[in-house]
Amino acid sequence: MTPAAILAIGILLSSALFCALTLHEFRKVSMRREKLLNALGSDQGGTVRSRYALSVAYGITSLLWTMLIVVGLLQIAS
Amino acid sequence: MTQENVLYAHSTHWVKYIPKTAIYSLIGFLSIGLMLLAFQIDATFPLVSLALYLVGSVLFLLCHHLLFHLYLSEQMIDIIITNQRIIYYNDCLFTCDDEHEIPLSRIAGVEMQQHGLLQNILNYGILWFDTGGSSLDMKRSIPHVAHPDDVAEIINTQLRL
Repeated sequence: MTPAAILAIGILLSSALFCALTLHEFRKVSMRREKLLNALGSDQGGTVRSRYALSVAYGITSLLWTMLIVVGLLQIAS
Repeated sequence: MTQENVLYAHSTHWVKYIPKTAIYSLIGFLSIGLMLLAFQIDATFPLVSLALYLVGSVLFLLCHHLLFHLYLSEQMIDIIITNQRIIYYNDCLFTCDDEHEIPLSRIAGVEMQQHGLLQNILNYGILWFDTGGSSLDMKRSIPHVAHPDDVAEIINTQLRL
């Protein structure tokens, strides 16, 4: 395996790891907040929708940018 | 004992995103420039090009993740006013998870502060709660409150009941 490929895998893995950890933490904190608001009788439909939209946007853009960068790196190294 | 009901539940004003978004966007554009430059000089200086591309890509990914970290941290509802208490959250994912709670029974008055052109144009400000202390304790205040006059009115109405 070439050094460029090792670097590419490193970038891919660290980006995916940070994304997954952030989304997990975000889900944990926002669920706690929603639970409190639901207990107080407040409707949280809009918040839940925006939470999902933001999470999906983060996941997709992270994947897209990381793949583009990895492809560029492999192209430059070859 | 009366049932606790939510009177107001909102996030703080979007102006909180601006400073960090501007910084991360600037660094992001700079890193895109570095990556494009790396492609330009690839034929003549392959090693320099690889180094430039690596620095640019790492910076770009860092900015992307930090930007979303900011949006995810700040997007949640952080001001909750019920008929019994005021709850204010100050959180940043992984690093800070503060919760301030002030019972309405301890509040003697509410002050609203809107200083400067920006705060008046965008209609946001600071809410400060007088809980009987002698000094201006900033732990008893909420920054970046959108429409602070309306929020103060909601609290004052509840205090008068």
